Amino acid sequence: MSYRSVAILCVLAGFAQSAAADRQKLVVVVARGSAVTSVSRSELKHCFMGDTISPAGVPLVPFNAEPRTAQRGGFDRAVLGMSPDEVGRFWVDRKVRGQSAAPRSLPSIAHVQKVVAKFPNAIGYVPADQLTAELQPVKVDGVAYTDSNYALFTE
Amino acid sequence: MAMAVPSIARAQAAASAGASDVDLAALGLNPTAAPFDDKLNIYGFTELDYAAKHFSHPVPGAPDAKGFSAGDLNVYLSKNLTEKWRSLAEVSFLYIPNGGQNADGSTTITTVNDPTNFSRPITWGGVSIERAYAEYDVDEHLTIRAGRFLTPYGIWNTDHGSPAIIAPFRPYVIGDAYFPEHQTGVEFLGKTLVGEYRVGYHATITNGRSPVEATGDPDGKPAFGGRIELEAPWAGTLRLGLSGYLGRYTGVAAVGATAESYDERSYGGDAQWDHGGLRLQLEVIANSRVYPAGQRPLVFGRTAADGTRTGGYILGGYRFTYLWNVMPFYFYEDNHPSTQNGEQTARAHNMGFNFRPTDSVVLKAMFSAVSLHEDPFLGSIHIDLFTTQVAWVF
Repeated sequence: MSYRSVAILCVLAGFAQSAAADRQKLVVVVARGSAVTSVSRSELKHCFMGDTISPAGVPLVPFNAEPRTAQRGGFDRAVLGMSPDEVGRFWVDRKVRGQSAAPRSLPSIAHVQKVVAKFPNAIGYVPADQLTAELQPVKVDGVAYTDSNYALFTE
Repeated sequence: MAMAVPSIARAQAAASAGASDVDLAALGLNPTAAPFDDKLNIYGFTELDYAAKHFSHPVPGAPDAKGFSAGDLNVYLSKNLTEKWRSLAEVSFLYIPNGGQNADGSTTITTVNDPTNFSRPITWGGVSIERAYAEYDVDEHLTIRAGRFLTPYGIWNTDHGSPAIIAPFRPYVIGDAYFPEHQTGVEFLGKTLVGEYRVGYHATITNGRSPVEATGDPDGKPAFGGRIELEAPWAGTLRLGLSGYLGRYTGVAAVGATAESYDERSYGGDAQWDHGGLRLQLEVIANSRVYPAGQRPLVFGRTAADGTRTGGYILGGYRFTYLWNVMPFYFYEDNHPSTQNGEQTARAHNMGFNFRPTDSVVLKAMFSAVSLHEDPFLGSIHIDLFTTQVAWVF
């Protein structure tokens, strides 16, 4: 392999590492003290797609990040399995059918922190470095965000 | 294996400071109450169509035609009344009766002179209440809905509005209403999650089908309906549904005359599979009617016969992520009405494109080759139909 090829590979590897470093873990959160400590990805998907779910007997009220943010994009792809365009079409079609509206989108991470902390039934998600003492991380499919095999990331 | 998050304490302090600045009241959230949205939401949709049709031989009263038509303007009003009570109303503002075709072939014109505008001519249209109901969540598995609602059957009837529907118009089996499109009464509905599966149900008690079903039940006999549905994460998402309906239709007759009446049963099955951009969906429906003695109408000079109508369609399409999210699609439909009553057997191949340049705007173009058979007047006839539509949600 020539020096030039090695150099190109190093540059590409550097870009890949940098992109991975930019992605942060996205932690599903409820209010501190909530009985909800773990949800399945399926429950999370249904909760954020208009169904009522009550893990641990608590009916959850979902709050989203703003559309087109790194948090929202990562969450929608990982949990709903949809791109931003698909999510947009999904909710418009539900409106036309007369079905329940999209979860409320909050304008900033600070809003998610405060709303989830204030309301015992609220569930949202924040980047790992934005966790506060008032928020309780929730395991997803039994995996904590501190585990190496945690699979929710910002986009 | 646990992973250390070294900056978390510092981040928590900074984040807490940010969160304390947030004004929940400005978001319409009251920290002392449940976080439900109690705003009145007003939104809707409408459409513009262009259609060109050509008949294989001349049809009296239905010449080849082409032109634009403006669709109905549907406005929704929805509101969460409390955490458990909701209300939804959908009102359709219509251009008809102006331009409506009458049974004798004439056209209704509603032009009048407007005395508030120097008696200049204006045409007026109508209003149709598509649905208006309140619903109450007993728990997460049971909701009770009361009012006028869309009959919970199949895919097309609940997709309902043109922006959510792939093709520009409905298949015969849906348009001919083998199930009533709307009903007035009470609906019990709910769902439960079983692992990754979602099981749902609907049960209805209503006035059933009649020309005046929103305001009364001419025969006083309630109609019953039901639906069960399953959503499974099989190679994407598979949805299966079975629906049924049992009721008596009673028309409205002139004073002294006997109204048409029949007992009817409808059964339907539907399936929808979404895998990435791929969509496959089908519906098959049967509707049978039995006339009590003395209540058969005359159809084309003959006494109407008992009979069963069957029909269905299958649709396939693939949504790409380019060219305005284009979805090429094809659907085939086959409709076998009760031919004793002068209804036509219809088969159609439909192929077209559905574009979704934004969430709220849909563009459609479709070519249809329709074959009608056993028409009591026309025999067999072929219709070539080209339709385009722009529909938008606001």
